[in-house]
Amino acid sequence: MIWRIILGLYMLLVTVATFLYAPPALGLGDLSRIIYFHVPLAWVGVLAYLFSMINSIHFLRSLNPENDYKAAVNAEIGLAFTILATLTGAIFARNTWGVYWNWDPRQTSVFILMLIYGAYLVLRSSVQDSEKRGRLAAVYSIMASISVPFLVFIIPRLYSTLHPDPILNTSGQLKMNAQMLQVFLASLAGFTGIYYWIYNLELRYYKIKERKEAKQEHD
Amino acid sequence: MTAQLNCRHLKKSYNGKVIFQGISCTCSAGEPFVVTGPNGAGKSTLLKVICGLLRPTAGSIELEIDGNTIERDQLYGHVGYVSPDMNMYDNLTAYENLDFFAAVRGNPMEKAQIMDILELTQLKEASHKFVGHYSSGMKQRLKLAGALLNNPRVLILDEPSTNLDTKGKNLLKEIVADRKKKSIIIIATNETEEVALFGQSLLQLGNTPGRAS
Amino acid sequence: MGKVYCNWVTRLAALVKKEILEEFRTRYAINSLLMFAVTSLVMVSFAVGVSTLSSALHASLLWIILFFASMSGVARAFVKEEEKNTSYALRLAATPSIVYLGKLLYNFIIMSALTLLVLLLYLFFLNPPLGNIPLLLLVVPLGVTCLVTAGTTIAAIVAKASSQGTLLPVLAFPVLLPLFITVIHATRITLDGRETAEIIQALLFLISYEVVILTASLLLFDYVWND
Repeated sequence: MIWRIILGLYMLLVTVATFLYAPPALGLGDLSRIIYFHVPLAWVGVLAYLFSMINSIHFLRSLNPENDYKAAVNAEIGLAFTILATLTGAIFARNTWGVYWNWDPRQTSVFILMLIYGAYLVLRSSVQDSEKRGRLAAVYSIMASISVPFLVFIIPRLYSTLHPDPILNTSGQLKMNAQMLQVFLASLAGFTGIYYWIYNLELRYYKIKERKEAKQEHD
Repeated sequence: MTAQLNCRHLKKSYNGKVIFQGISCTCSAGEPFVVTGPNGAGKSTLLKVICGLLRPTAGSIELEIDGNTIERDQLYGHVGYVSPDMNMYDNLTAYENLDFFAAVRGNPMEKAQIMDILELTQLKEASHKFVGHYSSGMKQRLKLAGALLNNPRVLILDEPSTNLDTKGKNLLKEIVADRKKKSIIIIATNETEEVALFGQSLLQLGNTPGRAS
Repeated sequence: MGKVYCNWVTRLAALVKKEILEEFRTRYAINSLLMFAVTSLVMVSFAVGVSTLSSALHASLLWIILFFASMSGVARAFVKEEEKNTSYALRLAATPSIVYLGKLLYNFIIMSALTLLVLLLYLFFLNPPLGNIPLLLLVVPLGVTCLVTAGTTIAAIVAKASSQGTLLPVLAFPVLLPLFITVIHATRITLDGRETAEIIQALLFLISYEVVILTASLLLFDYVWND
């Protein structure tokens, strides 16, 4: 309970800091402030996918319904975060390059992640039996994740990019000054905290539901 | 030449709803094992779990044939199964069906052997007709024929007399009597006269889920 | 060891033979795919009219047609077992790897015939530039092989999920995307008649994609096929 309030205050502070404390990036102006939201959103989208897949693999080994539930919850959270990342990315693209969408490699990657999440959740909703649902969804999740490294390899070779360098670019230089970096890392931590909070809530809900069902079975 | 099947504390639930639980039994060759109970008691599900078509939610099944333990994923070819939920291919003839199932198991059979089984189940004249054109009684006899391919050591018969006339029922009785020495036979039925017909070892599944007596 | 291998081939052959026999009795897949290929090609050629297309557009159109054709072709193989309640009998008789490879081979045979037809009709209706025919005849079959491999696995998932094929394109697309990007690019290069290092890279990419997807499918199919 107390952590929820602390997290709320913390995110408020980070949001204020992005507008007042961090200086605008050279050449991009105030628009650059969107990276304090866009990059953490995309990061959580990828993180949730990773956890979803790890839980899928665990589920296939153990058939423990809890693993399946964790995989599904991560996919739901991940979908929401990738949608937000895609939207914030499109706003940034519109205002710097003049178009919402230009098949930039990184834009495309997040978009594909969104498609995978969507397909995964559609598949889940079409199966009645819970164990079967878990197995089929886990297999699909693994199949889909196999295609991701191929995309990472192929897309940058065929489509040129206008996207600003990733934070840690190939030459290992940081293109942020100290204040920007502070806010950026604080925001990254904050969004990861939000992700963890939502995840934990869902998990607690699951545990309560399970306990209730177990009780009903005994009666 | 022994065959024994041990089920321990079998439980199956579907979407959190328990279909049956706590079922332990030992079936061996020599005496057919009969499972009874009203509709919806979980007879078919239990049989599917035993022959490996469904995973048990809890519990274990052990099959021992002539001193060798057979794992769940090596059941292929050891089990003959007849069930209302299972069909043969409508677009193949009876002969082609049996030929296919024998070959895909890795034990291709000579034409004469297949015709012998078809003769036993009184389908010899219709062996080159498409199964789609069969009457339901003929289809049921073909399923029996399919279950007898490669002389399986476990025969699992779910409502085997469905759609069979008196002649067909006698045939079924003969087959069971003929095979019971060598094979484990498990029969699910809810017709009381059949229970007495096939054997004494009995498992009665109750109407209330989860209570087996 | 040799005997085991021989036995394995016999079992696989039995399954493929059964699939082909069933197909030739009903002609369901053949007829619907034939009509699909003709309809979509005629539609495209009407839409294009007399204007000439760039090789990039030719490559894209060809693979869009092949994608949707293969989705409707591949879907049937598992759905029909579920529809007709024959899957229990097959599951008790055959090991999962035999089932997967048998269905894959059958799908491959059907799709090869369909691809040949689509290619010929495409040449007939849309008259694309043909820069490097031998290379095209290498790229297209390789691409179709990848398409069928991934498609068969996803089709098995869909058949178990809803026993209808409607979900298939939605689920298959993200998995097939790297294949599409590469194969469309490679097809464009061959239509242009350029012979560059890029095409070698694309071919190697397709081969590695096929190997990875096939391995994963064989490992995971058991979880899809058995309840």
